[in-house]
Amino acid sequence: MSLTVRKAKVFDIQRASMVDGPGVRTTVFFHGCDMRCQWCHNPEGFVSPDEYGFSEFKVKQYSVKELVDIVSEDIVFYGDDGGVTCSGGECMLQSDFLLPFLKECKKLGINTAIDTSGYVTFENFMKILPCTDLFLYDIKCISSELHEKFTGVNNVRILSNLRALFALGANVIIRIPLIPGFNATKEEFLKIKDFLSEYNPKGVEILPFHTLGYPKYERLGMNCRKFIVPDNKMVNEYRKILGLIQ
Amino acid sequence: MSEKYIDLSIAFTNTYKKFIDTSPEIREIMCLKSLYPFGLKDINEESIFAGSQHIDGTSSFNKLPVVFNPKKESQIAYFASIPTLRYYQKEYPHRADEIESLINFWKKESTFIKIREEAPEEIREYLFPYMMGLDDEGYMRKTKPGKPRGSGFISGSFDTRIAGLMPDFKLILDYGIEGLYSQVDKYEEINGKNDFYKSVRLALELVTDTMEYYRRQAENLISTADSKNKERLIRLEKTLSDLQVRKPQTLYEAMQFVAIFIVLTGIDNFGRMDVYFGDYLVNDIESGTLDDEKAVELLMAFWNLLSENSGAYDSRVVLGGKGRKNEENADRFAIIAMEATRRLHQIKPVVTLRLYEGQNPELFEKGIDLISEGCIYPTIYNDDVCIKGYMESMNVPYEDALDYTPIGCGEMVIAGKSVGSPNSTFRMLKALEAALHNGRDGVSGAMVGVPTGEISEFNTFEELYDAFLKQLDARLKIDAKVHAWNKKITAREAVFVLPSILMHDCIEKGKGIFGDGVRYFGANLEGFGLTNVINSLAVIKKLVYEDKKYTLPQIVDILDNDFKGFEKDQKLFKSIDKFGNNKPWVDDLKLPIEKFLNERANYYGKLNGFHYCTIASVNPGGINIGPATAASADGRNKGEPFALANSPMPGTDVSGITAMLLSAAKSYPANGGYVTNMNISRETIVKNREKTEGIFKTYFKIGGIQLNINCFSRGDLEKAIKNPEKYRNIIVRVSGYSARFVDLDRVTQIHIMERTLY
Repeated sequence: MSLTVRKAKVFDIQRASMVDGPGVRTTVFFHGCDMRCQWCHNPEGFVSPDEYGFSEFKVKQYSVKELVDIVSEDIVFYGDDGGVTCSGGECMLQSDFLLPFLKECKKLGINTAIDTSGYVTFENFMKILPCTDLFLYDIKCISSELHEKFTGVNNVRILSNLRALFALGANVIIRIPLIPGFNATKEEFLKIKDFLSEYNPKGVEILPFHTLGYPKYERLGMNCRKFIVPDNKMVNEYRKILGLIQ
Repeated sequence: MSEKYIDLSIAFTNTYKKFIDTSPEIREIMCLKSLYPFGLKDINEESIFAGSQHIDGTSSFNKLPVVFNPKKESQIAYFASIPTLRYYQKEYPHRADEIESLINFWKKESTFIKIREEAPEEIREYLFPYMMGLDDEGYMRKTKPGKPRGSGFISGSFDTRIAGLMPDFKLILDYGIEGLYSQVDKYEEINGKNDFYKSVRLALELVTDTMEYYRRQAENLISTADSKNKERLIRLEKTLSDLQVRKPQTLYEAMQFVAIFIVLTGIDNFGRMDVYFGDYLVNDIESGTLDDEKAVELLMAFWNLLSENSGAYDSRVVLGGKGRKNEENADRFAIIAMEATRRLHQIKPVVTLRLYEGQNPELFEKGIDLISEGCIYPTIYNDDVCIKGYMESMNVPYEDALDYTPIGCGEMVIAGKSVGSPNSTFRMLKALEAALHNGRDGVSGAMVGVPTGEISEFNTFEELYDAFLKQLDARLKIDAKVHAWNKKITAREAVFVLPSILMHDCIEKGKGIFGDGVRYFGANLEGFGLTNVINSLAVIKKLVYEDKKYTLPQIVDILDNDFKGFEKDQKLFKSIDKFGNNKPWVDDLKLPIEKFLNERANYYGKLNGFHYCTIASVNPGGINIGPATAASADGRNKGEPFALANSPMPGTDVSGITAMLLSAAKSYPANGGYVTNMNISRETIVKNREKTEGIFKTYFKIGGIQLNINCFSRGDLEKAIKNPEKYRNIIVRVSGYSARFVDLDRVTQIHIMERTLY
């Protein structure tokens, strides 16, 4: 299909992102998500554009060509590690778009990363696997009741998708949000550590909760759950539990 | 306060009269001898070095009201500060008549007065004093714009100065006093006797006299000093004694020797310091005289001395880069020097780091350490673009281009080998305004440019663009003439004997700087507002000539009304792509204009006898020139400041740091000095140090010329406005100079706050 026809729904593009994977990256935030994580700092990613009201948020549509043109502007800055990260929302919900988009990126030598919760059927991953260099894959928690309570969905398919990706030899960096009041218990983190012990992720990162999302909820006229921001000491404690540091 | 300064002024004036019919060289050095060393600041018990003028850089209150100096109050050679003389008249009424005679004399004899009063009509009308009116004394220009010529002008000249002399101190360090006498003997033998050689010998006498003067002061202080100070004073006394008979052997001696020349010449840019001090440092460390810590302390003391002898607009210390003999030693010095800057956290000196691909990476790392702590220094230059660029813009061979160094605000010279003073201001946005008004000022209607046609007849964008280039060209032509006139009259009055010793070829040729001794005599213009020009042209190109939403007269009418009643249009103009977002259709307007400016400046410069003439884009002038400039098509209101130097208009670079740097990297490298200012948050650098460094390195790789990196935590500037006392430590690079943020005026503060914070 022509590169100008199929459109992606995107609510933000961040150039020179330093936190969405290795190196310097352009992060494309795709709109739409089936989860409702209570700590989400991108509510504009799951709220319907109809409900954006008078806020400044916008969902734009991009063709593959348009998005590739934007992403390739910073090619000189990507170096060996950097590239494009597809995030959101949940970018995997638009895997039909991702496939041609990632293909074009690869043709230009751009490293591709998918930042995902994993909450899609596996055939979506199969589709885009050949042109994905790296997955930034979330593990929120292992206990499935806890997962459902705080995200609105079950984590069975999330974990099985992850296992399958590992089995297929995909490069995966695991990202674990640290949310006091949700998963910040030794017990839960030991379960995560246990789960990961069978596999060989390229990296494991803890993402401490932060409050940068709060003003967005306000502007959208929504309530949001307040969590405590972990300090450095706490983050290091959990790094130790995972065995990331001594 | 002391009557001594009146006596010195009278002695100086009498000496001037006595030697008025001799050569400029002899008169100059004899006048200096009547002033110094007695006019210099005394050392005290705590002094580590000897050698200080009384005043801070170019401040207008001088204890010494009558001087010979490269640029007192931006005027060259012989200059009298009339407000200071008037002050003395009040303080010492019994000397009022004597002082009145001094005032009357120097109102005629000051060098800049002669340059002005003797100027042919064609040149005179482009001098600011005539454009803006003279002050009540009939001496300087009025400080506020006067009426006759309207509220603005495209370019003009007031400054007759040498804004920055960038010396090569190796020329004195390698020889010492005796060696310099030998050099004079040697070349006099070849070239024949002349007044220049005679005056150099007199200058060297002055240097020795000054060292002896301070030595005696040190000697007198030793007996009453406490033990800590005693040791230092003993060292100082011995050094000042030794340096009279031999060349420096240690870093301390080298610094002291340099300090004497600095204070006697008024030179306030300090060259490639790691080159001329590096070997001394390493020798001292290897011999055990110094260790790294003591070396840092010594540098800190030297920094304080330089700070006393220079203003915030100058004070350049250049480190790093290609072409440094004994590069490893120089690198070691550079690291120590940056550590001194890091610890002092001061505005001066302006530490400047040159980088090249393959340089010892420690220098860049150290630089980023400083920047991430909010030091604002080093300001960074990219050799891999600059050397070739300055070869071309200054018409010099590679071997000389290796010594490119920015003076002052960032105008480019070749250290020890060229002079090129930015002596006119060039307001590019006003040139566009003139093109849009058939040569007239958009605010006052006065004729400020040349007639380039009625805008209703510009059927294509190219016709407007050509009209704009014509406005630029007409001014470049006259600016070069003004600079040449300045040089001609100055050369009749002075050659700058002492500084000539610090510039290559002068002793070899037997001629002073203004006597055709210096290797390259160039000229420089300070350009302002190019970013706003580009943004404005982009709006016009799109809305008038592509989308045909407006006619050009309609746009100009909106601007003439300063957007009043046209708020929706202003919003639209502002929404059009701006420089700094990597939009080729906008960014690509810039380079051809820059090329045109520098090529035409050079053409007219050469026509007028200069080796080169270049145009810089470095200055913060866009803040105080803004008020005299009409609203512009980029959506800028009348009076609003321009973007400073080669940077986006604050707040309009909205596509991220990579886009901004991609835009900035598309600059014409053969220029007169460029500066790109940016703000970055401490959080970004500290949390992502390697990635941030990678971004800067890539910027340089793709052609980035320069970066001034302001680093502070988010919210700091806002907090500083609310509680200035608590935030005195925040230093910012306005553009061509740095300042404590809380000391700036509000307009400048807001301008800096509006810069996108990455």
